[in-house]
Amino acid sequence: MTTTIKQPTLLLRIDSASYSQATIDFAVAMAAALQSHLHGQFIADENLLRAAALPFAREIAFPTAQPRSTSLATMQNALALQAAAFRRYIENAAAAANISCSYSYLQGRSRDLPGNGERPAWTIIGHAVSHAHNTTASTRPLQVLLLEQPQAQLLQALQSLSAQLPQRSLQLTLVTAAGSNGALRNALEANGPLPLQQINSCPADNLTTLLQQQPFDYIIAARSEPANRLQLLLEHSSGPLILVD
Amino acid sequence: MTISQLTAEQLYLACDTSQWDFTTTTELEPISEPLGQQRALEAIEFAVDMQRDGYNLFVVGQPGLGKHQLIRQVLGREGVRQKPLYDWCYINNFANPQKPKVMQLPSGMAQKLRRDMETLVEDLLTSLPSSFQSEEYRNRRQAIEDEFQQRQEQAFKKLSKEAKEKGVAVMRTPNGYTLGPVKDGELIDTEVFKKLPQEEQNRIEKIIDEMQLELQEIIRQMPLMLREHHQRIKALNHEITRHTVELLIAWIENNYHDQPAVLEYLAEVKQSAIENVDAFLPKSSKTQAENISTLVAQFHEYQINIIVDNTDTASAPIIVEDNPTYQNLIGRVEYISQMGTLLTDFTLIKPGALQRANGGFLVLEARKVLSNAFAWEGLKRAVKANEVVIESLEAMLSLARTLSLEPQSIPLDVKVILTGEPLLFYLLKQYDPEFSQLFKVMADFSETTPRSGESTQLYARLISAMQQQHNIRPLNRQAVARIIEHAARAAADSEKLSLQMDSMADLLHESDYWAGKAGADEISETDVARAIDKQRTRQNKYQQLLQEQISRGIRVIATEGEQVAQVNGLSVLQTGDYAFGLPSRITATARLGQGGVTDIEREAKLGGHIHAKGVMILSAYLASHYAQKQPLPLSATLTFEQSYGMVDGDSASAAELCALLSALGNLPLKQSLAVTGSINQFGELQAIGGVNEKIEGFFELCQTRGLSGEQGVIIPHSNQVHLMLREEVREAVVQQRFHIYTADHVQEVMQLLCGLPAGSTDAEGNYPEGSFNRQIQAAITRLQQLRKQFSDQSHSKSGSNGEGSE
Repeated sequence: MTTTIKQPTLLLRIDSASYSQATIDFAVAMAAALQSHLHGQFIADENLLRAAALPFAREIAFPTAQPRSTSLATMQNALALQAAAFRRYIENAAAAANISCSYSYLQGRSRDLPGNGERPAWTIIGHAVSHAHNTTASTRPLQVLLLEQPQAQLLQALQSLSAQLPQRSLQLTLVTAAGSNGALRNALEANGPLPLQQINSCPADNLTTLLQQQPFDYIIAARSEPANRLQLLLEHSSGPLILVD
Repeated sequence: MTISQLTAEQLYLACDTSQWDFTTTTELEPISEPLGQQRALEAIEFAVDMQRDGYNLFVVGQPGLGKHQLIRQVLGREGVRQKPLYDWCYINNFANPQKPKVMQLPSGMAQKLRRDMETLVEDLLTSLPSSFQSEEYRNRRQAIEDEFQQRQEQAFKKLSKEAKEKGVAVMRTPNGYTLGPVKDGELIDTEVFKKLPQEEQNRIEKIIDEMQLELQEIIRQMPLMLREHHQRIKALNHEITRHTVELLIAWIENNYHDQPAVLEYLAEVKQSAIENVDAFLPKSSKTQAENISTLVAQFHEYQINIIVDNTDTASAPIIVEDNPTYQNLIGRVEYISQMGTLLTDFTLIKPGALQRANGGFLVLEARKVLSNAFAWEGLKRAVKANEVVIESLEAMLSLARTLSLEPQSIPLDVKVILTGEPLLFYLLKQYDPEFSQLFKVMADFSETTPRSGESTQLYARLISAMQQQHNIRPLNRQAVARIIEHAARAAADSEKLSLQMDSMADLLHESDYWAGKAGADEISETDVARAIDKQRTRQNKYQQLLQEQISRGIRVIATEGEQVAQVNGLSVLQTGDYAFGLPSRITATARLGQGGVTDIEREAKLGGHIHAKGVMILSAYLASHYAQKQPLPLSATLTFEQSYGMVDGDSASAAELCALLSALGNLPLKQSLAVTGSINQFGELQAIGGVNEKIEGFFELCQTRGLSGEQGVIIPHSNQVHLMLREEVREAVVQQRFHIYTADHVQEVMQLLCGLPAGSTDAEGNYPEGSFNRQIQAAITRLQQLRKQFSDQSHSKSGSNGEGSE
């Protein structure tokens, strides 16, 4: 009798707005650190397609700032090209990091959460990662939002994230769950290797206000968080959202 | 007329050692001044002291006279050309690296500057990254980054907020941005939009148009913002770099506050380092781990290429360039091959002898300079312009060339000293018009010095100096005398001494060797004689071969008996440094005719001009002496038997005349005697060269065959002073087994050769009976009579023929 142990998968969801090579590099490095399979998922945002189909649709190209007519077909074509570039890049990066990878192309709404059918170990929902954040020259501590959830692999995710940016210190904002026993905070404080500069706490009720007031470079949360809260994170995040089991 | 038979004492002028009070050379004070070269010495001193353009020096003399030694001696004196010495460097020209700049520094400063520059680069490599890692820099840079990002985000956020309020969504596309109408949080699709009232559609379109304009403006501003962002980062980097660089360079500047050239250079270095700060920052964390000295070596542009370093030079530099090629004189630009491409920079400029000798003296051998392509022209150009420009030969000849450097010229203050043979000096003087302008002083080295009591004493001190200098055994008094006598022989004059220092050094070394072989502590006369003998036997193979040919009768030379029209002449052959004498059989024929004397050597193009002249002179003597009143109806021939090479010189003209007179008068001549000497139109004997070798050559042949007691050599009286014959010849003369005669006139030579008196003419012009001249006179008279008979017969024949024809 043969037992197959399925390799955990890290899902990277990306769309036109969040597409950047830095985001892909970050996901590949995380997958390599976790020894997991990487699945790249490109979302062709249906809102873009709708807008392109309108009779007065225009696209303001970067960096010329010249408006030009667009159409559904033009937009589909542009998205297909970007998806192909995404596929090539992720395949090459995965091969260089010696991890397996797969790829899918979906048409949908990029701000929707992954469907129930997809059960990766971790998910990174792309949001363009600024190159400036990752340079060694930058001294600003990384702002990380961590939503406490018992049993979730939050600490491991934080450690993996920190391992990718060894030069950077972390300013952590911990959103405590109702009735938290402070175990995560204790664990964080006891974790010597993490370059934690500061740990702030915030009650879960104030999450909306917090997200509106302060941008975060990374958000780490459990997949099991309520759907409305995850949606809130998605809408207000200014950096990648890392969902863990 | 005087014929002298010389005594053994007249054949060799021995040293009078009784005047000397030393036992060995160690007791002699070594000579400090050059012997016999006062003229040359004064010329060298004058040229060295003369501080005007063109007063360069050409030292003329044959090799081995000690020219270089004397030059070094004069140049090495204290106080010669005391001028400040400088170091010369090539530095990077930051504005135009193809044209490196030259820098003049006080002696010893170049090395210091080079070390300081290496330290500076090392400091920059460590300090600049530290500056860019500093909290201050990182915070300031982050502030700029954040501000830029914030401005960008704020612009889009503001637009997005305004758009949202107006029911419009701003979306990112793969190539830019697009806008779309929103209703109830959802983007309106085309079908819904078309169902909207026309007014609503127009309103939405108008809003989107307005928003689009704003979006366009934001995107248009982005490159400007980016530019501003880069400029601010650059300005920050510049400020940080300037601060660090200025701090480090100020430390070096303090050491060179009185050197404007260095300060100017450091200002350029400062500017360059600030502009190229990235070069000093590690490319990756791995780079930082590299050896700092390896990194420093990569910064060529800040290196100091020291062309001339006078740190350890106390007096004016004296450069002797033994291989004066163009590049070794002028300098060169070297290349390194990198990926198949030849690259160069100012650090690959190499100095030539001219740069190294700047402020001092450059000693060159003229022959070597002239035989190296372009070296002479390059040297003259530099000396004339008082500057040296490093220019590659390809550039000079306008040939295809790689991209090269044009280094700045170096001002030149050098005294050039050429050494060479007289021939070269006079050829240059005649054929190179620039030579006289550039080499105004000639130092002419003598090859001999007069032999006197004083000069032999000095010569002994010279031997003492060389003995001590070359660290050889001391020479005893007799050995010194033997060497001095050998010097007279080398000078080919018993009253002169050779100044060939190289030959004398060789003789001393070899004498020392034989003394060592004999286990002696000092060099004796025997050792010197053995060294001289061994030198001769090492070189006389060809001489022995020729002597052997004569002994075996292959080359016919008679050394006894009598022969008509045949005389033993003497010639000198030279093989390398070795000269030896060899007898030659000179024969003549005489008959009725009117062709004069035919020189067979000349007719066969084996005779040189001087030989031809000698034959013409003897012809003139013959005619003037024996046929003043009547024509000489003679056709005669002269030749060197068994001679197959060129014959030149007039030293055989006396022998040739004797052979001719013998042929004419049918006079048998003694073959036991050999004759040498040239004659003039009056029959007087004149001195010839190589008299010692000639006598010894005939002596050796006779000795091989066995000395009969009759054999000997007749030489001009004026050659007597040149005699320094070998001991074995002198001994044979003492024993009356060999004879040396001197004569002043060819009549005396004939008298000795034929054993008859010359006789004097009577009032009618006739010689007395029994004299050889009477026989010659009679022979000429017979020829004249024959000529008359022949002429009469011819006339009568032509007369009868004439009548017959009529």
